[in-house]
Amino acid sequence: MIERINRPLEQNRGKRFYILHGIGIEDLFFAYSNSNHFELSIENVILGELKNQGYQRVIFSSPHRSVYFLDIDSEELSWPIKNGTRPNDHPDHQMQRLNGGPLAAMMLFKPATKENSRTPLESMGDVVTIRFLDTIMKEETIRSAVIFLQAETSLNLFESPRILSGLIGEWARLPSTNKNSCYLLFSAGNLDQLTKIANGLAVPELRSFIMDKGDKGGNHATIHIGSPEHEEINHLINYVKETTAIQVNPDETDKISHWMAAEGISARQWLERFSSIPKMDMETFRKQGWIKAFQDKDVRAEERLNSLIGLHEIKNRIRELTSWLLVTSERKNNPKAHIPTLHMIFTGNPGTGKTTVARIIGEIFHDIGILRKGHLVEAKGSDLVAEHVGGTALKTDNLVNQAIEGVLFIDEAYVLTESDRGGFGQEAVDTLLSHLENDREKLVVILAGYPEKMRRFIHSNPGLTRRFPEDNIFYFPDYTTQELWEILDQILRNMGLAYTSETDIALKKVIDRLHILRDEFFGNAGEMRNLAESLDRRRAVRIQQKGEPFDIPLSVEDIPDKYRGLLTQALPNPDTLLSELNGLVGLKSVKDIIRNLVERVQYENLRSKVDPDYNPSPGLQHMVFEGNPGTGKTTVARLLGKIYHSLGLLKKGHLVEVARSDLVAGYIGQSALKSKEKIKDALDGVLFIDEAYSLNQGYGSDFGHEAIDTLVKTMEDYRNRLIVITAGYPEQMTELIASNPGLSSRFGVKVHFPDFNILELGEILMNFAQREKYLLPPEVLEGACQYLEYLRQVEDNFGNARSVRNLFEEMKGALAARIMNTIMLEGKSTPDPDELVRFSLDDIPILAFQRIPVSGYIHSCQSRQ
Amino acid sequence: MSGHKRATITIREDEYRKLQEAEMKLRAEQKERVDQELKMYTNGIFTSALAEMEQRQQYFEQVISSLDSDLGNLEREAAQTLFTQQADFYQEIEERMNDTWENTTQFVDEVSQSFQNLLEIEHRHHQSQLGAINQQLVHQQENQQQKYFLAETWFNCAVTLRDFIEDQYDFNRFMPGQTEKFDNELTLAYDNLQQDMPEAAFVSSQQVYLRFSALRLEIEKVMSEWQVLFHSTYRTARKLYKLAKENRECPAIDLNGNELSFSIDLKKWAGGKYVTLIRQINEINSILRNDAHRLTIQDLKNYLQEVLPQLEKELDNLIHQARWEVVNSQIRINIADLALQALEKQGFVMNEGGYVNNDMSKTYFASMRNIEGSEVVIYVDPGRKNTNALVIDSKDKVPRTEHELRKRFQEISQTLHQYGLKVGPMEVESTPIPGAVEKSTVKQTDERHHILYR
Repeated sequence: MIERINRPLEQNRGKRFYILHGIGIEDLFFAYSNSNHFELSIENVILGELKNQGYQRVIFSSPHRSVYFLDIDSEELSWPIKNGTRPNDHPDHQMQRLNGGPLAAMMLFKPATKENSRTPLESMGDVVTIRFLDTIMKEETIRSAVIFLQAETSLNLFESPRILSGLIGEWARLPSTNKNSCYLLFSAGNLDQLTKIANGLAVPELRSFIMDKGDKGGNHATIHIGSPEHEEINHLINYVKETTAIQVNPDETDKISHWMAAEGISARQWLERFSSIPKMDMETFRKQGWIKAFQDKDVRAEERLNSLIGLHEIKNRIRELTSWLLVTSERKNNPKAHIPTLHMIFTGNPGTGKTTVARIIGEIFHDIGILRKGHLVEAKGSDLVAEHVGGTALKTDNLVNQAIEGVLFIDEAYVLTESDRGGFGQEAVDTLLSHLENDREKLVVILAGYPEKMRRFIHSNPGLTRRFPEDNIFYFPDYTTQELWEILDQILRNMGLAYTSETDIALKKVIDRLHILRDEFFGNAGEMRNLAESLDRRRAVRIQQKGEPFDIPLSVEDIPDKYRGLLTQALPNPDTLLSELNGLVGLKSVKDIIRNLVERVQYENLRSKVDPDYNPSPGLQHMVFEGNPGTGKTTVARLLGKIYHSLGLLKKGHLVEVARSDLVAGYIGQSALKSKEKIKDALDGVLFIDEAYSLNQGYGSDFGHEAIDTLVKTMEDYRNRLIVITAGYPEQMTELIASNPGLSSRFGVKVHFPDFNILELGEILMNFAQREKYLLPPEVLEGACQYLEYLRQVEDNFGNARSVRNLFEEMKGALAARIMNTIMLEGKSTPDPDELVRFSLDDIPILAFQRIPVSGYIHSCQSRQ
Repeated sequence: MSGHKRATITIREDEYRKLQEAEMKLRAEQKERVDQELKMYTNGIFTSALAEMEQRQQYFEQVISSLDSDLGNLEREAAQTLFTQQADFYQEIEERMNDTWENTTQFVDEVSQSFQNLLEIEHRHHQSQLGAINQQLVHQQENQQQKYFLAETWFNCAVTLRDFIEDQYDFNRFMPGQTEKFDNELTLAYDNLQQDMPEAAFVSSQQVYLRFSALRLEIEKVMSEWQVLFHSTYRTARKLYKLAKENRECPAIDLNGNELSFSIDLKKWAGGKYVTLIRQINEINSILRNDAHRLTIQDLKNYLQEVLPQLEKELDNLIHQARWEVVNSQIRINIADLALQALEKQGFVMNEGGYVNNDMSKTYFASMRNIEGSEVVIYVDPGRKNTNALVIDSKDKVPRTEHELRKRFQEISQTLHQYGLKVGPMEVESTPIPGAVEKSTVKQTDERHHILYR
């Protein structure tokens, strides 16, 4: 019995049409009987299977042999009157059928050309053939099977497509009392190719059957015939041993056959390969590079699992699973035994060992007997999606077919539910779901990706939730610094690279920094691999350029620049940053609030250190900064980010400042995208949304609310990685927060930024001047303050520190003009250095014209200096 | 849709001609062989005739010797010359007969003419010799008595010769009425003797003697001719008989004219014509054997020039016709076989077949069935000369399109064409072919042959 034929046929009994495809169609088959191993064609195999199923009559048809039989019973049941002779059984000078003429059986005519020795049935024309087969199919008294080999050729080149289509259509509508079947063998290797063939078929029923794939029930089945399995490969190996001079190591036969089965290539290809080797053993297979499915063939899968660095929780769970499966597999002989759901979710950042563990799981399941091959097929979520309708299902089916009796590992599966997939992602999900159910005894699907995204993906479809139970979700945490170091060390040792103790320390520091600064894109083991390769590359350059010996160990200078920069980076000191905060003009209340926040974080950190079981409160809180423009909101936000970074709450602590136009787009769906982009930029830092209330304003086609919704969602998703600070006028900010219930619950801190008083404004101006080393005489300062006061009274939107900045710029401009005019008028080439930087009242715009007395203010300003 | 399709299948004209020529050549070879076999017969066929003639001459010499010695010597000499000439004549005839049997009468005439010429020369010489003797005798006559004696001698010689002729020759058969003509002159000569007119008696006796002498030579010649003609005729009749007998079962031939190991029973294939022919030949042979004495030279010439050649021609035709009938009959079954092969490629299997009424000269038919229960009956009808007609009668369980029916016919045509047969255009018959069974009776196999030929 050939499993790869027998099993799918058995599982799909009772159909009218069977559409067979796959690499097995054109393959050779191997079996054992009567102490002999022998080779079979697919016709022989199918004949045997169908006879076992009770078919009394099996008829074959191929492009060059219209009708033929492989067994006498079928032939006798098909010929109306027995006539066993073939033409050309008689010599040319005799008639082939008749006798009894005056010259007995003599043939007076000679043929111009001698026909091939074919039976009459083999030479039948197309129309006659199909009518003949039609009679067979409609006759209910003899259970019959009609097999079309090279169906694509037979059907495409049929003489009368209309008659063919008509009759096959009738077959599809035969009553249930008719137990006859039609098997169509296509050479297509996968469903994609089969679909292409189907598109060209002139028989609509067959076309739709193929597109349907039998998923929707009905009287047809699409069956993939794959590569030989373990038992058949054993027969193949023994056949080679019996019929060739190739030496086969009997002790390794079983293992080799397992390897070969996992590779998924045809028996014919294996035979071809064997023609080039003198002996068949593991060493030869390795040297030839014929085994790709298994990584390390000498070490058992469980041992390899145990040898992985880190992943203790994962290993434990897998051991538990394995033990449970071993017990379950004992019950497998009981048809009523429950077949456990083995599909899994692996979540975690890149490089955390998901693919490696998936591969090992495949091997373990194979060792247990759950999977016949246990090989791994890797794919990305995008690999399942095509660009056109129906193509996605095919691509998905193809991948699944490749993975049957093994593990299908789909990375970033969540992309299938992303809206930019055009809806085809859903097609992939639906297709996958059907396989998850129908093939669960012979396929393990592992979906992998970022935790949150995978969680959303699974919960987006109840079918997925059911097929990926909670117990089967495995989280792969980022490696610890120690684990990362072990990984790097292992890689370097495998590469044969030694390193100095100094390098040891430096590398550990690099890993430490990398670990701290890591985000969801951190490559974990992959990052270590990149680092190792970079080290190796730089070492090689060093050896070449400096003529160093080849066995020289790695040194610090081999550390690439991008990594070396991490060595000098140090976390900023929170006190320093607080001092900087204190140094800001005014903002007492703000400083108090910030200081309190910092103290709170420090307290929580301290408490966690003292009590490891203590669950600290989340340190990051989103904030609302109310205040008029120029009151220091952005400055404080920036400082706050740095402070939180210094406290270890934010990995980067940078500030991303956005306005409404950065978040809102002109049409639906785009605001979300825009917002997500900016939010992504701000992760591990601070997102500062100025004039945030503008999101709440807008008219019919405005999508500010879309941006707000995105924001709300993001604040929840990334609450440990992002601080959102919205800023704006007090009343409008209040309105904004109230507009969305999600906002009000998320913004826990409201900080009011009062307008600067005149003295504070003057101080700000003085700071600007001092920073740029200008001289600001007291009278000028007073005049400037007066001007600023004037502006505050006349302007609706007085800009506070911004207005000071503007004034400063104007004064600088005026000063420059004044100095240059003076030089020109007086003809001096180099003015006095102090004069060059000393402001005068003339530099203050309005006061230059109005000459308003300025006493009082100056004293106030001076006293403060 | 009509299920009856007919087409004419023709053997190529050049092939047919080739067959004809080859067949003629075979027959010619056979005739030559028979000729060779009959050579033995011609050897010495004239021996007895010569012996008879010699005997007659010897007797004649005896008879004449009793008369006047001079006359007797003369006659003896003439008789020997005649004998020699006749022997030569027979020999030449015999030789010519052995060399060729054609134009027997022609060369008989030729040789006979030269014999006649010789005879005439001899006769004139004889006459002049007789005249010289007579002159001599006349000069020796002195008186009436001597004259009377001379006249009486001549009269007695004439009577003796006349009696000899009467006795030895069947002159009524060969030269009827000739002696009566001379009897009057003999009577006249006797009367002259009685009336004692010796000179008149002498003259008339002499004249009648000369006439009888010439008559004797003439009769000998005619008898020789008759012998030759008779033997020629007999040989020809024997040859014809032999040919007819041998070809009672003649070898069949193929399309290239090669003889086959099969025999054709002419009686069967030529029907009554052969029987009639054999009877006619037998009759002639019987006459020649048993009633030859009644046959005149004209009779013989008629046999030789008219009757026997005609019979030979008829025999040739019968043989040719029979051979062609056999070939054609075989062609019909061959065509049927090819048609069966073509129909087998369409899923049909032969049910039954054969010649109508088991008569191989008639139509060959075969019925075929397929798994569906459809039936096709093919008929191959004999046609004129080198043609046969193929009729296909389709009775499909499930109606077939006209295209399919045509395709069915085309496949058969193709197969036939591959074997060098020329297939004419297909005709659709709206009614069944004459003699064909009705649809409902095709299935009744027992009645089939019966019904086919009402």
